[in-house]
Amino acid sequence: MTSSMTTASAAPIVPDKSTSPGDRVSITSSFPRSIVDLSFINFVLKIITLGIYTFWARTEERKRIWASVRLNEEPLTYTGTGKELFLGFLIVFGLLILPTTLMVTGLLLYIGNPKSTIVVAVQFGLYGVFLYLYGVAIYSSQRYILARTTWRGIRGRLDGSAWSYGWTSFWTLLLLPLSLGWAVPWRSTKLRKIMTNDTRFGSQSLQFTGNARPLYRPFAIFWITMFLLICVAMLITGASTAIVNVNINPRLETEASKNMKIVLGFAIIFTLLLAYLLYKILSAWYRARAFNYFASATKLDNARFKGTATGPGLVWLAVSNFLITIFSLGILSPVVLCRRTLYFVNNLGLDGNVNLNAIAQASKQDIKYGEGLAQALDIDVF
Amino acid sequence: MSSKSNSFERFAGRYSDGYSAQTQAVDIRFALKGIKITVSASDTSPASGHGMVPFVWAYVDLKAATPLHTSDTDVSLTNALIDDATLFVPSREFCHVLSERAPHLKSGAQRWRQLQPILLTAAGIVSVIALIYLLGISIAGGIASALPDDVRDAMGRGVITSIADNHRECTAPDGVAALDRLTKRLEDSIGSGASYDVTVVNWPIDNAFAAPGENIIIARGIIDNAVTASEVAGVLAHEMGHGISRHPETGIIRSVGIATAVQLLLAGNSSTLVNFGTVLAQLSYSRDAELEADAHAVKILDTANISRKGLASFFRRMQHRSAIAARDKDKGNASDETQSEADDVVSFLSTHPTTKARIKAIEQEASTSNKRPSATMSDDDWKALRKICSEVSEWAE
Repeated sequence: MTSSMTTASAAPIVPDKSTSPGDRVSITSSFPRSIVDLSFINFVLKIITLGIYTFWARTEERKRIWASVRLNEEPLTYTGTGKELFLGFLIVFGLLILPTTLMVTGLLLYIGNPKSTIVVAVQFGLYGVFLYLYGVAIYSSQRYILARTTWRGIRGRLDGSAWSYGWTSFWTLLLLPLSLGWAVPWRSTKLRKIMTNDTRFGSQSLQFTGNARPLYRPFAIFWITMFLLICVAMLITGASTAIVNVNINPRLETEASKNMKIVLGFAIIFTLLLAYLLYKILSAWYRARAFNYFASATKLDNARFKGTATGPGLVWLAVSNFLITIFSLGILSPVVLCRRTLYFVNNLGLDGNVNLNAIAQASKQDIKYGEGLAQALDIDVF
Repeated sequence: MSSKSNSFERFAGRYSDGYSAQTQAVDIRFALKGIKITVSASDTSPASGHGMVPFVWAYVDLKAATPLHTSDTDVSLTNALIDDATLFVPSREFCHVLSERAPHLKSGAQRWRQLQPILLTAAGIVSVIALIYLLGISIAGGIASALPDDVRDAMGRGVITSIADNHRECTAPDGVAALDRLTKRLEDSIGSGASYDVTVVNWPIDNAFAAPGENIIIARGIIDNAVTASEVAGVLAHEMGHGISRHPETGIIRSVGIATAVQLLLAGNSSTLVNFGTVLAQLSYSRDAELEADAHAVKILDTANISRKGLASFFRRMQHRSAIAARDKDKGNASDETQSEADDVVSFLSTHPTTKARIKAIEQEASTSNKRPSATMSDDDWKALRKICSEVSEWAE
């Protein structure tokens, strides 16, 4: 696959971007200020409606975020409704969450012993089912969102099976611990490929042209650094604990030994904090690399996406969003969501031409309900 | 006012018919009943070659992608009657006039339309809850009384197993026999043919529980600290009272119900799947339930011709100890041991409120009773019962 790619890019038959038919498409966005007001309004309305308004609130937020994304100056439109999300949630709650809860509770009451083999087996099985449904939920909510997104009236579409995506997501997930994490780039590429190749904008499909190999260098740097980090952190905490245990006789506690304990305690906390911070920075760096690579591996007609996300950019996004959430007591979570979405939009470009004349409307997919499953499983899609 | 002056003004926009991603430049004018859309003469796109005649989108049919603000600088419109066709007008002036001509596009109007049914639903839920509360209907109690016996037995096993995990059963044969005789005597006085399973656990706290399915667990502390056998009989009758009113079953159903409702409110986050352990931990009874159990206990004791004074003195002992515990706590000199003991007492009392009033109620009627109570059990039985924990064993499943 890699070899065919290299020959393709070296071959002269690749169409020249400047002469290929179609138009250039610019991707821009501006922060929708109305979302700040909306955050407060939604917060109040959610409270006075006992939380039922959540689904309509989310829809209103999406409408603002979508409208702030412009392709050639014209906005994306979100056409979903709160009612669809509400019904989707009710269906999943009624058909999945409630029966499962009742079943587990009934079983526990009947068997009596929470540690009995049957109860443990059933719970284990349920974890498996939910892990599988996690992938199904991601795919079907993506399908709902694409079907409810239009640009110039042309709808998006996701043309594959959520069940089969869920299955791929499930069995590849099981390989992660077995491979000590080394399957991560391979798995995310595999899933991205399915999702991208199934995505349509009207009659035009996206094409995924990448493979996992280019992700392995940044991932190796990430993994090895993390491994060393864990070793160092364990060494420091282990040594500190050992010093306390060996040198300080609990019966002869002196002022000096107390102080020593405090100092070592702080050393452990500081080490763990530093390790966590470094992990965040490193994983942000890797995620930015992955995002950019996946963008560059995605084609729309004769144009190729281009990602410009950076590690520091993602770290700053996470830190600032964390502060906004904390200081607004969560009320400004729509702003946080918007900033996260727009960061990636702002760092996405489209190089080359898209023949907009040739993109026809996609037939309507029969989707009546919103992403109840994703909501039930607490998946933050948008 | 501005609407009139703008009636003849033309605005530039882009129209997409929804069949392809191509757009055409259009001129838009405000007309009486809608906006009039004309393909611009300047448009050279292939789509404009269709010779489109001007057409009108009625104000009432217009839909905006986002609620319209007077300060918006552009607007994306669709028509409720025409699938997929969109009109994009990048003009602040146009948005301003449109918000006057088609006020239903404004955010306030849109939100209010959506909100009405939701508010009605919320109000409905609140009034149903209020009604249930005001009429004193206990849904959980209703379900509990309708449960078949084998389901209640299963629930009881669940509760007992979770307690049995940490404590052993007291099984000295003479003690067990003595307890069985007392239990039988109290059961007979209930008269409903109910048969209780009473177990003493090797647990030095002053507490007893009723579990679903006529199961009662008495902690060793109750027997150790009792001055007379009638105290044990009183506690036993009280727990039987809970059983008669199905309080344990009701409590579990209520906790599960509340957990499920919370889940619904949290939009079904599955991580809040009901945890059976926490359900049991929350099992405490309301004041009314305690009074009801007391009333049953008094009736049972009277019918069995056992003195109510035992129950009263048990409550008095608890009250006294909680006072000492509170005093020690205030002084801050409670050792770890007395502290944990005090916590046991406090937690027991918190589930058994207004002890003083209850003692009064039990004793008041006792003094009016003219029948002289007989002995609760023989001296030999009482001695045997006090030694019931001299032998312990793992719980028999």
